[in-house]
Amino acid sequence: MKTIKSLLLSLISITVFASCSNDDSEAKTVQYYDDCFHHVYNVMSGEYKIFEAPQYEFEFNYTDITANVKIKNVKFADGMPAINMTLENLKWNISNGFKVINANNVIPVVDGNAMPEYMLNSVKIELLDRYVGVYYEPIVNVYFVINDMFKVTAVQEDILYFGETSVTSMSGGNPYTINTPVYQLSIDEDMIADLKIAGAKFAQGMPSLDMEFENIPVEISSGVGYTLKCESLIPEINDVPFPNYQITNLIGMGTFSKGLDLSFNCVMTKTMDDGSVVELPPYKVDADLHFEVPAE
Amino acid sequence: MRREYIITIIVLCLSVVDLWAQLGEAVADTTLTLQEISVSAIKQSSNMRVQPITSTIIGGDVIERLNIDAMKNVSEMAPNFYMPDYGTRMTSSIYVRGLGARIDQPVVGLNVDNVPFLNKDNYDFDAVDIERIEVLRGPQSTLYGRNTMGGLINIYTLSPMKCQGLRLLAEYGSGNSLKTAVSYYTKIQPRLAISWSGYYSMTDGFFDNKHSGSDCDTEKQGGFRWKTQWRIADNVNLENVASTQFSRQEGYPYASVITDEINYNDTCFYKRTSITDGLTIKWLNDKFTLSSISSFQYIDDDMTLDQDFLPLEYFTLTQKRKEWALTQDFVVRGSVGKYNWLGGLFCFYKSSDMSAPVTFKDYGIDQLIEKHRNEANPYYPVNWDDETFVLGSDFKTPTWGVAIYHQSSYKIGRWNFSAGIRLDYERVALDYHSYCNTSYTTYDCTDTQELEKVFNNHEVVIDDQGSLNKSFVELLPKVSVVYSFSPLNESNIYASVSKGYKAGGYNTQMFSDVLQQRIMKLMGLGMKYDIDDVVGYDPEESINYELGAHLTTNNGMFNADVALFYVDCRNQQLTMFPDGTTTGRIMANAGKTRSYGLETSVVYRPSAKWMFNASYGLTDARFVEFNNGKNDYKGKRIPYAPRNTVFAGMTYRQPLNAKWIDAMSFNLNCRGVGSIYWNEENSEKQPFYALLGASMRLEHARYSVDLWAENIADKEYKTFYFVSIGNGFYQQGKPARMGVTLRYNFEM
Repeated sequence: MKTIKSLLLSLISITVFASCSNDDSEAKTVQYYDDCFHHVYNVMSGEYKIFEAPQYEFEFNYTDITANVKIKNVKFADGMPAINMTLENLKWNISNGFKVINANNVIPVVDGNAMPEYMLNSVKIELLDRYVGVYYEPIVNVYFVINDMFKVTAVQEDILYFGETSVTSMSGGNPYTINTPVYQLSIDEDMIADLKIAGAKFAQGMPSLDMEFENIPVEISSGVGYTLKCESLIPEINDVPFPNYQITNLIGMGTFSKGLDLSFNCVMTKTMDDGSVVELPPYKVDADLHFEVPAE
Repeated sequence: MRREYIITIIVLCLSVVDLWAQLGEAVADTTLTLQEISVSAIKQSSNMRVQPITSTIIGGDVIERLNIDAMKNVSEMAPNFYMPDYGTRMTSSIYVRGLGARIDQPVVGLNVDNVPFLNKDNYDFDAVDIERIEVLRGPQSTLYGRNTMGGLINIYTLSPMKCQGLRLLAEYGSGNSLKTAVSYYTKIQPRLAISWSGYYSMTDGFFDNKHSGSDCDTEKQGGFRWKTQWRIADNVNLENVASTQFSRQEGYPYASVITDEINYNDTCFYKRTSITDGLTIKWLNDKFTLSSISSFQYIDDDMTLDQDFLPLEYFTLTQKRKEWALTQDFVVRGSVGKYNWLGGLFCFYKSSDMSAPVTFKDYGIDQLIEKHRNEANPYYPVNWDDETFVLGSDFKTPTWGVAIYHQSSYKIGRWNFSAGIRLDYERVALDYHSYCNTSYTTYDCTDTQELEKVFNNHEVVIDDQGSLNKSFVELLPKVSVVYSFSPLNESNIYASVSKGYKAGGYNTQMFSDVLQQRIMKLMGLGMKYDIDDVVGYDPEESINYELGAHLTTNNGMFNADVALFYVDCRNQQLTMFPDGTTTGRIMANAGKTRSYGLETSVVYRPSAKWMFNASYGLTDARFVEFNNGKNDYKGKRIPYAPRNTVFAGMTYRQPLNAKWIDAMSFNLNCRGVGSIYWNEENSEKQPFYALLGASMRLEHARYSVDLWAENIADKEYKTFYFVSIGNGFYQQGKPARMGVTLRYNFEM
């Protein structure tokens, strides 16, 4: 489903871009994004709420370097009706490959009317256009504050990471470094994450594994990033639990626009012929992950 | 080789040459025919011995006396030429000067009556009425192109223009081996001659399979050849050779290293039917000769293997193939005074359809898949739902190429300078279809060790199709210089540098590795490799440096050839383990090797009754670079390539002038080879061994009877060794054997 959505999104983007080219005086792109949910932190109460299914429409004008952002289905409190707001004529720039919007005190337009009661004290939007293979897999970071009270973070539900994984055996020896594993982090509205590692390897000569770590609690730091933390879990390979590859002390510190620093231990056990279980020296895994897709 | 040794050997050669020159001038002018005179070959001089080429020519007399009816019989007779006899007719591994190939492309080309054989799986066949065999060593790529990096073998059959009549052959020997052949040669008109040759042979072989209790290297084979030679005009010659051959063989007689028994439970056989036709047309005028060589080749073969060679239900492999090929070579030769030139255009197209399914059986599934997977996770073990499943692979491999080449030579006094160049383009494609449909069940054994509680069920469905292609361009130069000691005889010294190459392509046998990784990937283990990386490979190239001499006394009583060589081989085609994995090989051009050595051969006929011939080859062939991702083999000897080859023969012919017998002759010969290392680690080897042979012939103008024996001392030796799923296997050489051959010629 996610794959189909990515493909459709890219197809729609291209179609709209092509249709916008009819106006020879301005170059624009329109992109849609809904692979997220809103984490809304109430400054007053200190609590957060999750609101599902917001939809974003980004219109970037390359001629006057302005952007219009439409956000549909926005809620930031229980009981309030969902609203559709438009943020108009925002300035944007390119930074580290991201299209970046930074704005303060933006009055949104709701149903054609300016709504100062919903003033966005600060708006930060970062969008990285990225292809992984033939699939469009953007990175989108949206954070805004409403009336200095509600801190809204659009949490991307699926993110692919790449980077260097370093594995050190607790029994000693030089670290084993590998750049080929692909990490997929999926966060749901219950603030629970699944982490899939395709091609995980802990040692030279070991066959690579497609591992899945499920039910990892997530904490969001509004506008900053997220934290993954899990004392212990049993990974799955091909939907089958592997109790003899126990994962412990998993910690991940991620920012929505920079990447993820992940570490965990893998404690392996071996069942001997007599049925006894022997614990092998564990591996410590450190992964320095980012969004940049490696060149083939 | 240390420099001082090289210098010493060169000095010795020159000393011999000098001595030879003195001897040659002193002998009588009686001329003795040493060997059958070479007939005109299209791309080379009629006499190899004036060329800067290291060659061994085996004439018809020797062919009959040593019972040579296939290329494997020529092994060791030419120095540093080794063609081991193992497996089936499909295994045509040839090693020359340390260069060889077991996988895919050959290093030595084969022409039969000037028709190039493109597939080395078709190299091993019997032939009757062979007139001569030429073994050219060193790269022949400038004139012959692809896959002649180590050399070239030319086989010529009898010409109906030269001999007419009916020839019969009947032979019986050890292993219940029977062979019969009938040939008819006739001139329909003074300028038109045809011949028909047919043969059939069968043998029970020499090895038994303990599991079945029956012979496992039996063979039935036969063939037919129709040769037409037509002198259309005084300056236009046409020759067409059409042939077909079939072979039906049982088994691969591989014995376990541990038990020394041949013992496997599944069927092994190889069947092959081949058809070839070659049309050669030569047109001569005052200024040049234009030749056209066209050929058609068709192979239909089927190989089925018990790939574990054990009495266990592991897995079997079947490879069924239909392949056809067309070749066309235009050659123009001419001379202007002392300048000789040759130019040519060659093109070919080959298309192969192959189906190569691997059938995994119960024990193989248990040991190769379930066991490894369940060791990794005994809490949730898997059990395959099927007792057997098939990993299917179908391939289409169209290949085509075109080349232009040129060679010029110029004579100044006794010096002859020659240079040649070839530009070769080749494109190979692979269309593949891999498929598999099976499943397995995972059980929850966290509370119990019994397979009772099903956790889930997984389908393993593979249906992959794709196309790959590669193109190669090769520039193949050659330079040489020859100094002749006398314009009257064949004594000369020469030096040459030449480049050779072995074509790139796709090794379809590696698809089993692809599918293995694919299944592991579906189970959550292993990496999915890029197929092109796994099975594709680029050309392998070599540079050959050679210094040699041909020495002949004026009376022709003594011939000697000697050569020193150095071969530098790059981009060697090897299998490797990427990133240090224990499974999942890939093809790679990752090696560099070098080999150097010397070759020498002598033929001495002191009188009409006696003939002595001997040859010796020494090769030191090693890896300069070869790290396969698990081990570094730098400095190790190249496996399967022998260090020494030896051949020695002595023939005595006594005329009797009796009513029914004109002469009696005896031959004693010895051929030796070794040492041979069987693996890159150089941990397993076959030491040097020698095999004694003898024959006695009673001959008459019309018939002859040969009593012969081979490996008289019943020497035990290995011809092949390999490892399959961690188990070592070898093939024993053939034991002592003897037989009788009757030949009868009716001249008409």
